[in-house]
Amino acid sequence: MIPVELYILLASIMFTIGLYGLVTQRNGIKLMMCIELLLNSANINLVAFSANQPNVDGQVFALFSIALAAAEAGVGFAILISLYRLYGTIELDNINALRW
Amino acid sequence: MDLGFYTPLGAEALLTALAVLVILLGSLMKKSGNLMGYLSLAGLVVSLGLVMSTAMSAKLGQVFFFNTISVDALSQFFKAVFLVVSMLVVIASLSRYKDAKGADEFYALLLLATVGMMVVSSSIDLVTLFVGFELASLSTYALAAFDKSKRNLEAAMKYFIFGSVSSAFMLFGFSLLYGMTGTTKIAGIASAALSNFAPATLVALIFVIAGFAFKMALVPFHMWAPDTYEGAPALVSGLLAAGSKKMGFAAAFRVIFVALLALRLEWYLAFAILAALTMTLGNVLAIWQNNVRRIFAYSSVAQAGYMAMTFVVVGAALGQPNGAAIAQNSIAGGLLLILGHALMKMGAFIAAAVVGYMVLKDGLKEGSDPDDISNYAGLGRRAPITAFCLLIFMFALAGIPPTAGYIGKFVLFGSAINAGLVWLAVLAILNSALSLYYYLRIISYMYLKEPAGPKISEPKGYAVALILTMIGVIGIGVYPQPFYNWAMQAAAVLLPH
Amino acid sequence: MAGEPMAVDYYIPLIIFMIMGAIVPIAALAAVKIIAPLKPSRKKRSTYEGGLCPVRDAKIQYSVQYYLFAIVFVIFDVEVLFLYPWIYVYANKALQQFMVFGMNNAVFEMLLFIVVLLVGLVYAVKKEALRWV
Repeated sequence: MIPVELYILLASIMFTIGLYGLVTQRNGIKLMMCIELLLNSANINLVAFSANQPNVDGQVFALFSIALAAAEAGVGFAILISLYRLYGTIELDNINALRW
Repeated sequence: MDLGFYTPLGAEALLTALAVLVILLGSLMKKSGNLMGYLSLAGLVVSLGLVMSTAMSAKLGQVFFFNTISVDALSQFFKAVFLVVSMLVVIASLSRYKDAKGADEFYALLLLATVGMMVVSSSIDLVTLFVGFELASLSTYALAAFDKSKRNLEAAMKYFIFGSVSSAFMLFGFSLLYGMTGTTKIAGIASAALSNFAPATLVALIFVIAGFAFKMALVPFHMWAPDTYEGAPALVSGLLAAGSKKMGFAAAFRVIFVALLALRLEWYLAFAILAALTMTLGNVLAIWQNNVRRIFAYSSVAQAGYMAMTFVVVGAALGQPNGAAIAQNSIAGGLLLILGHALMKMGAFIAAAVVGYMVLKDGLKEGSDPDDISNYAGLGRRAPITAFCLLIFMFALAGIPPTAGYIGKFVLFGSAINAGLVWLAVLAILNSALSLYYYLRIISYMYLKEPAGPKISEPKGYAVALILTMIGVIGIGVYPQPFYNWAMQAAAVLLPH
Repeated sequence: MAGEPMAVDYYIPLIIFMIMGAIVPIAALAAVKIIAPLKPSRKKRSTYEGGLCPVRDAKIQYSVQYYLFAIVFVIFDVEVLFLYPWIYVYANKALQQFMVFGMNNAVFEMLLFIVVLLVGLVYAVKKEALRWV
């Protein structure tokens, strides 16, 4: 049995990588990937904790969050596509009609 | 199984079915925009009736679906706020998106966003809370990009990135809470955290609070709000400020009280600093803006600071003997402020939408800002109804009696003084005075400057929505007793018995 | 090795598999390099040995339509995920006693779910997201 601490360590590392990417990257697709990293690190946590609990609430939660992450990616890509059609780029530094 | 058991959830069921129906009919019929609008309006009115009838009946306090959804006075209060806001958006949209392409999608997304907010206000379980939160967020991401202009899409992109990062934070916090306590029920988490407090619970709570603070636009997490409120379609900005933001409060009311209990109430000072920073920074930044929708956005940040005072007062009061009454009073004040602010901000953004329509009719110069304050010059003569309603909303936002804004502030600030937080109450009152500066600036543009164009006739939908909102704002101010009683009843749900 | 197996022990087969997986293709490529006779000519080095001349650039722009397909596919694909927990509930004897409109509770809920997904499909077809251009 792998101790649960290792899973939490893995999830924390994933979360930190995602956060680092969000701060340093300015490409729309890369930002979306970082957001997926954040969400999936939480999923790892949920499933790992659920294995040590008498109930399966965590796994159910993870199922819901996977479905919601997919829907979120769908909406995000739709916005990115429309953005690309208008601006011709998805580098978010070049998109500055509003003051940041 | 008895379906009659589920009647208190009729409003949600009706709106969900209606949203699916609108999508289906809208894709099968051509030019169905207005029909869908009236259909959605009818659905929202019936839902409001159902919610109110449940709120009045003795059926309150029931729980459904394996203890995940609770129908109590608090949830019904928030649901009524969300439904009223959505109704106003639909009424105003009837003239905005007459037979525009995709109007049916607008209404379907609006209905789904409303359902999401309603689910959040009823949730007593983290799973349903998260699902409702995401339903409302995803619908509003799409709504913010609805007109597909450059500004819209940029606003939507920023909103999307900040919003999804905040839900990721929230989910990570939820996962840690589940790991520490072994349950996803909020009540179970509270009792487990109280009996066996682990440092990881503190980390989890910080993640969760950060996630909510993004939605509530409290200060370190407010950066998205001005850009999004400026760039999104004006009515959608209204929905975000009046509905989606209140959803953050609805969730925070349920979860942060757990935090306050688990943290042995000592952390209310952290919330106090957060609230003080939020209201001050929001008001100071609003003074320098020339774009009216940005002014509204920063004023909305400041108002979030006043509302966040509720958490502080509850934290301070529960540590005192006979503090429960003060705590109840402060929650009621926060709820009244939420109700009043939802109406005032919605009305203000509808007025901004009218001005946007007017500027478009004048012929917008390339590269100029449609929401610039100079476009409000002489609005009192160009669009008298809009200008008068906006005047009332500005006074209400500043907290001048007899308006809804005054009642909420009065109750909340009073309870802050009773709880011994005089400095915070004084700061809040000073901030209200400061906010008068930029509200009066807009008013002086509307009534003292020469008009820049001819008189226009306001589209009917906008005018009706504005007048209804104004009646609501003044009605609550003149006759606050029933609303106050209802808010007190809702506040009692949260306090330990 | 005596005593409780370590966490790493469970992964020894996996590690062996990964090492073998890395060795085999390298060995195969190396064997070809060493054994096979090498006589290059211009005809042999062209892209298609069948004799067809390649035309235009290799980097072409895909139609943006692919994106719509991808988004619609991802949503439907992930929603199917909910069928797995549903199977579990459906097979559960204790939960089969609940009846709604004369049918099993689980069946009713899945019907609702599928109907909502179907409406989504109708929407995608009618808004011409799935039309090939």
